[in-house]
Amino acid sequence: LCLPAFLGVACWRGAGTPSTDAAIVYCSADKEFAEQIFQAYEARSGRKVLALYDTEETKTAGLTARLVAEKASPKADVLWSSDTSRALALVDQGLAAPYTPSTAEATPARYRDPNGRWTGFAARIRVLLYNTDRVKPSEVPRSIVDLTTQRWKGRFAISNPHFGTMSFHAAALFARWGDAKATAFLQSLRDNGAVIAAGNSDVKDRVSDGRVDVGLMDEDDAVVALRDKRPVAIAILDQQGDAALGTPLMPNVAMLVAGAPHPDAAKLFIDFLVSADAERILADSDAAQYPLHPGVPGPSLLPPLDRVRAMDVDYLEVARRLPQMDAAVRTIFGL
Amino acid sequence: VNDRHHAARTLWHTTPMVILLSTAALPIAFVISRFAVRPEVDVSSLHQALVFAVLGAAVATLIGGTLGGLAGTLEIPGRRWLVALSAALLAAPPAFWWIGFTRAGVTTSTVSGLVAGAAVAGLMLAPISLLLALAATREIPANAFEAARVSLGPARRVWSVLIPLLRPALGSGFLMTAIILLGESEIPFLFGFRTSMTDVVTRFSQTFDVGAAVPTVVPLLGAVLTAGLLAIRPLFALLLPHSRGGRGINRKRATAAASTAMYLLPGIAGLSLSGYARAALSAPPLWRRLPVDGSTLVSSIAEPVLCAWVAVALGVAAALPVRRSAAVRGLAMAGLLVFAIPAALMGIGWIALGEAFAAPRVPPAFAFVSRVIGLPVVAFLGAYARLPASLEDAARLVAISPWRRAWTFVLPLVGPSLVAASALIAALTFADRDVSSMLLQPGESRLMLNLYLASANAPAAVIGSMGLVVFAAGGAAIALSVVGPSAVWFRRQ
Repeated sequence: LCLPAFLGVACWRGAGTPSTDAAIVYCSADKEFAEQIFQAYEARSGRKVLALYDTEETKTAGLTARLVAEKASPKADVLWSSDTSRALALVDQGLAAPYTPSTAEATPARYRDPNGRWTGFAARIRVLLYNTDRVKPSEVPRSIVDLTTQRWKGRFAISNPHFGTMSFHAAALFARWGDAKATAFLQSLRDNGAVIAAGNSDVKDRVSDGRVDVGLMDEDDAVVALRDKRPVAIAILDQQGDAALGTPLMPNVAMLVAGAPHPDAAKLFIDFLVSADAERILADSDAAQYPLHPGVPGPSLLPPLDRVRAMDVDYLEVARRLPQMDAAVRTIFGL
Repeated sequence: VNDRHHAARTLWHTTPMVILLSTAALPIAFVISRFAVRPEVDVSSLHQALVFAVLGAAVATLIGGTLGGLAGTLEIPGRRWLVALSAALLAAPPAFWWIGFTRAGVTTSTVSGLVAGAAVAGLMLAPISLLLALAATREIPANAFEAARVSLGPARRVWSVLIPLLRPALGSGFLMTAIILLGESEIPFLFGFRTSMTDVVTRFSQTFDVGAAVPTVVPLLGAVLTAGLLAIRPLFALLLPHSRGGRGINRKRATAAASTAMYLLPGIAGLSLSGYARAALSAPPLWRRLPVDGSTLVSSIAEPVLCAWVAVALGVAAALPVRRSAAVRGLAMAGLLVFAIPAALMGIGWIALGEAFAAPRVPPAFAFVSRVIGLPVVAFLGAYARLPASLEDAARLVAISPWRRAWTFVLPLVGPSLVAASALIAALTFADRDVSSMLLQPGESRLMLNLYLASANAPAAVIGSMGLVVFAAGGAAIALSVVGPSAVWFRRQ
């Protein structure tokens, strides 16, 4: 009785091809936040979204690797990537199909591909979270370079630079500073006892628990710690002075997968995903992400986007620096 | 002619089991064949994996063995309930209990790194050694232990008599825990260190290329199979007693300290669950945002139950024809070795097979069942070995078919062992995260995977609520997995 039931369930699952109304979305955004978008879309359109997520430790890299592996026979319709650089690296590999959603016309041009191969929306910034029981406000680092000083030796954490937005952060430094200076900086972090955590949320937990004093993460991770009433505060690095580096600003990326099995459903979903309505949901939620549409209010616990100095980088160039960054991380940190 | 006939019959009877185990091991054989093409190994994280496994297993054996020895030799009020509650820790993976622990208001700020991770994982897996040691105390010759009670002091009695008598249980408990820890990835991720298993999972996810993961998979396979081989002898010594009668210790009244010690593992489980409850109640309106839908709940419960039933049904069907053959021991050993292989490696193997033959990706259940198929075989063998051979010989006098005879006489008698195997398989399947993250299709999800995904960024109340739902669903899955075989076999009695 068990065996036929088992095989029946397995076959039913294999035969269960999604209808053409459903969009298959590979999503590296946090499930908790992404589901709010999917539910809003399903309620509005009456169409289903079938999502596949990444684990925290393999953020985005896992899904992009899967898309590359499936290139000959794509299974996904849309990539919703929370990591700008990993997603844009797919553009050069011919995995993105052109599509220009009308709902993103008001988004600044620098956050969109002129050929429609990717569209940015709902950005995050990199912030420093510090433990207020261990760090006085006057001691808080002002620049990422300060983490290489003696005060923070062994007392700061970053997530694994191979994955997630830390990989964007590191690759952005390679794009901005050049390989030699960025490699030397990573070596300095290593020499100063950088604690490598499993992911941004692990960095948040370590800072919140006082296992380290400060840590780099995305602003949504930091906001979760604030809302959980942990003894922490947020600082935005590299903001002061005319020559300030600025902090990385990373839009989410919506990408129509080349050869998507359900292109019409994919386009409809992308239209919603990059719209002001979706950005409003992401800003209001614990995701605390900055809308890129002008006039849409930003997250309440963070300064407005026009008061944040963003690092000036070409997103495609950041994506192209990923291999050099990965190689340097492997050599320096042994990861 | 008789010899030839006997050999042919043995071959015929062993064929189903050989096919079953070969199919189960097929994905791993395929991965190894990839290694043969490109023989590269990466042992950069193997030493950490071994230290983690050995340290954790030592902690588990020390605590579990001590508690098992206490429960087996002393009369402790509520002993059965305390053992059952201690065993509840096995119903979820160590990382689940740790996440709840961190939400319980206990200071965990300095707890990180390999040694701490090993200690925590060992503590959570201590019930394995507890149950094995407890089972072993039932096999201790009553007269030998009573003589020791009369002639030796407590310390000498434990050191010179009890520990040597429990050695197979402690040895197999140590090795089984080490095998589980070698395949563990969540605790290393949470405590911030690398092991071979974390490298396999991240490297495969990062590249989605089996070839890229093979150099790390091969040394890990070598380690788990070595541990599996070493575990065979003590485990079989425990499962297959050589004689019967005059066994079991007369329990003496326990001291207050010994009774209190038995509350350690239930206390940890309770503290962790209270951590989830505390987090869940920190913002009650968040119950409404609980990321659990009906289909996830149903599939998360149904999958382990089905896997358990199918594994038990297949294992028993294949083991029945060879139950009186000398070959069954070797086949059970092979099944045990297959079980030593982490489910995630099975998952990677199935993906590799699918890619090689352009076949659709198999459901996670295939990886689970192929890993655990040996468990019911071992459980069946252990239980059958305890039955008097004359019982089945007598049953042969009844004019019914061999299958009907097995159904009517044998299965009810080995039922409890198979029920325990079914529960263990359901618990292992429910607890998995790695296989689900690799093999689930878009739109599918599992509660345990969702809990890990939520624990990354969700508010404390959501994590707390999810933890409680996961625990309840895990309990339901284990209960249902037990109900099935119980209903079938005990009805026959």
